[in-house]
Amino acid sequence: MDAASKVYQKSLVVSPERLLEADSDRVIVQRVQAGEVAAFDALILKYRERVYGVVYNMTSNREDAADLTQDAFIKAFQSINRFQAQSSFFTWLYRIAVNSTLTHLRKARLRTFFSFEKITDEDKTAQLVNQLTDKKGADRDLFIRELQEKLNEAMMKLSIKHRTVVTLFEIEGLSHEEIAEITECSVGTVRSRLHYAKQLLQAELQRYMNP
Amino acid sequence: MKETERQPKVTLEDLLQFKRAERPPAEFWAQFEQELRAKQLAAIVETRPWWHTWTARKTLVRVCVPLGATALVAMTFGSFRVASVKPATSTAGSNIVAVQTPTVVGDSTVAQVSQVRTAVNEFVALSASAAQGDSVDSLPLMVVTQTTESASTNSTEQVLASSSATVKAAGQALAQLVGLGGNSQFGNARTPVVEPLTQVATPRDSRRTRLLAYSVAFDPHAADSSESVRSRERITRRISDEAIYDSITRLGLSGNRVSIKF
Repeated sequence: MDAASKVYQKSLVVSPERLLEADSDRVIVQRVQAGEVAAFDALILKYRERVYGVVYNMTSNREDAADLTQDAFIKAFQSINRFQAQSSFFTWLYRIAVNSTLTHLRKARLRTFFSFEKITDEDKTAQLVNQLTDKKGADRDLFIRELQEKLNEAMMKLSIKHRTVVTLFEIEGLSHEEIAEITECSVGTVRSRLHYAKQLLQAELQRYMNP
Repeated sequence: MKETERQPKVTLEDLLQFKRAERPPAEFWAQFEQELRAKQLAAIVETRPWWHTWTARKTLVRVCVPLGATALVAMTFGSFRVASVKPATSTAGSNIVAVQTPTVVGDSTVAQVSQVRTAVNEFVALSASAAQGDSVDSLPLMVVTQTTESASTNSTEQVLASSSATVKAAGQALAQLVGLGGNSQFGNARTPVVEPLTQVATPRDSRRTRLLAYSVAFDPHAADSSESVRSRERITRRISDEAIYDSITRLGLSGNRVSIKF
């Protein structure tokens, strides 16, 4: 384990998998910094879905999410020489993406359009739908569509900061410490924002929680 | 048992699982990659403006911040100057900052220079506080006195001379900024500012002067006593323009006759 990863481990409470991931990223980053531009493709391939997921859940618009994700990768590529491995590449990339999205949302506060991705009917989702409704066929699809809309509406009712924290914690599964590093605030602030945001979401989605 | 009790309770975390399931299809990623390639190529080919480079940014920050601060201070002093220009009559003795710069040997030179610097700072603070008020009367003066002690060396003298010159130069620059004018010796009494309009004699003043001269010439006995002269001055000052014009219209001269209208 090199000095940079020790610094990263010391500063954050991270899982061993994350540490391994950070180490492998660091090697790729060093190759890109040395001039091997094609090595950056590996990083794009690895993180594009996760970054897209964060941006999409913050904007609720698939076109904006695609643009912002691309911009985040371009920015990361342009300034990769300034990356000094004080944090993991993953956290650094997330920070770029989140900051770009926040800037975009602040600019386009008054014009919000929804365009949703289709919900993939995985086992866990299907199980949850079964709990919520006993409808079948087209009615079931309609119910899923309605639930998706209500979820996104409830998310968009949150402030940008609260939405960011909920997205990173509940949907992307990051730790409080990682979120604190990405959003550049304290862990306490992250916890309090999360608590408040959950209260608001519960109030909005009460109908679905007690069917 | 009711059906709702059989079902496990749906939590908020469960509902948010739906958000995780919102994933784009595979064909989306093909288009995404194509667009990203184009953007990446454009980013590689595009020459970035010189001010976007890290070193250029640092240089700009190093140069622009002090320049901006200096410009701001200069503008502030300029605006105070406009606001605080009023005729000054006297200099307040309490505002004189006496700086004694004893020329002592060798090691204490640094301490003396710092003393001078402190005095300059004090002077600057006083200038600023004076400039904030309406009057320039309260503006401080800096008197640099140099008490020579017996065991002074040439280098010490040079250092102190240069420091006192610096103090004077700083004082003059500040005086110019505040609005005292830089041509006078710093520390001298300032000439009062006279408005140009007050220097122009009005017809009313000239009439008063003529009347006064006439009355004095007409009453030679009374001209000796200064008291009577002062009383005539008061009377002539009280004569308004209207009274003079009335007296002209009431008096009429035609041939050998003098007519008075009531």
